[in-house]
Amino acid sequence: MLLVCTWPDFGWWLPRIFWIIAGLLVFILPTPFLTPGETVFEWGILKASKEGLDTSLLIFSRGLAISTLALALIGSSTIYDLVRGANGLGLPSKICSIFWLGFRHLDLLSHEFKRMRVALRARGYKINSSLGSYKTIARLSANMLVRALDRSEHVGLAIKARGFHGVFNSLDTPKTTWREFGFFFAMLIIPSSLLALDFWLGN
Amino acid sequence: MINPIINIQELSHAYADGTKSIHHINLQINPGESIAIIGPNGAGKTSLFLCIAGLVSFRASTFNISGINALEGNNKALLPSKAALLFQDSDDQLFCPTVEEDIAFGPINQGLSKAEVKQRVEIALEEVGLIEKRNKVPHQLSGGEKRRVALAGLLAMNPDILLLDEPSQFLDHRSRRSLINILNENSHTKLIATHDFEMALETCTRAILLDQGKILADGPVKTILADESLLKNHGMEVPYSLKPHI
Repeated sequence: MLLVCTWPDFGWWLPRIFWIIAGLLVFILPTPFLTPGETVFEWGILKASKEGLDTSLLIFSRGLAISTLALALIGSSTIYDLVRGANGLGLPSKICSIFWLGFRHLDLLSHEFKRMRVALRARGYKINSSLGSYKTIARLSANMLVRALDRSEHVGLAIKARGFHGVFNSLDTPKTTWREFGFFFAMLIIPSSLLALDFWLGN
Repeated sequence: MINPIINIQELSHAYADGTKSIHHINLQINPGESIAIIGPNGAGKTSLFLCIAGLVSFRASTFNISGINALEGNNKALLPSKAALLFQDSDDQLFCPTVEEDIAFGPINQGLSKAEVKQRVEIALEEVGLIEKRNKVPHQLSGGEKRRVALAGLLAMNPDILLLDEPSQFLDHRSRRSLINILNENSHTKLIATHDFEMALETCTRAILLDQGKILADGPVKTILADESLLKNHGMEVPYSLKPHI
């Protein structure tokens, strides 16, 4: 599904999958050695159990399934589309507006942070563990907060200046395409088939 | 006799901490006029614009903007549709995911139908020459393009008055020229707060000098901007093109 959603941009998700797997390894690797049960193999004083290996496999497959689903969602939509989708599914407009403006604001703040960092470097600042360095970081953070407040006031005025009254409307109305229908039926058929198979094999 | 599009008497404004930014200003502007608002930093130019756009609280004995008496009932809320404000920093003004969506933001809030909104967006994009950028992300555009998108956002609201706060600030020569051309082709009533006196000479017929919240001079732009002692007294200089050359 991830392949279909991000096709042909594999470069986008491959490094992300790598980091997700690296994160999961923290849980997967020690679990067989920490779970008591029937010993499968020994490595020095460490004994790996069959129950532990099963649990590791379960954590890995579930973790990977959840992460790839999230990646498919993020990789195939813009943040704005996600917010609008959430709004369409019933998330209150105010929360959607806060989320979207917050995201936009973070982008502006990161640009400002980069500018300030360059300005600090231009004046010979090098980060270290001295009290002076911490003071500089504190001042920088305070400055960022003040600027953020200032900017949010300006953005608030700009929104009011364009007649905003609390609800984010959009120019285009989203329309359901054949891909959404396909995805919906695939999601309906695949799990039901798996359940049916499980039931049939169980009997 | 022409009815002024802006008729303000005894306008005063103060910030939340009590600092007064505008003191008893009287202002009359006729439809179609293009006026440069000049003055040093902190003179009250932006505050005046925020008042005219109905975005801050103020006191006045008369406050008529494009036929609306803002002192009556809830009329102040109607002012943003009549007097559209271009902010100093375009990043404050652009927050939608695409150029098209951003320009449509104002007209949608005005309650127009989608067909009307799309038509307005089309006209505004054409007016600022950004048709090909309609699907771009606004904050990834150049400074000049951002300014033009912000201006298109105002034009799409079809206001009677344009309030432009330092429109040429941070623009390169080409973007500045493009903005001047757009402004000269536009027939709206325009108030342009600027330190760019050469641009004021090209786009405005009248100039108002504001300092410490008071109007100190009002007249033809060439007369005001050529008055060396007046400008010097308020920390400004005669533009190069008006200086006598040997």
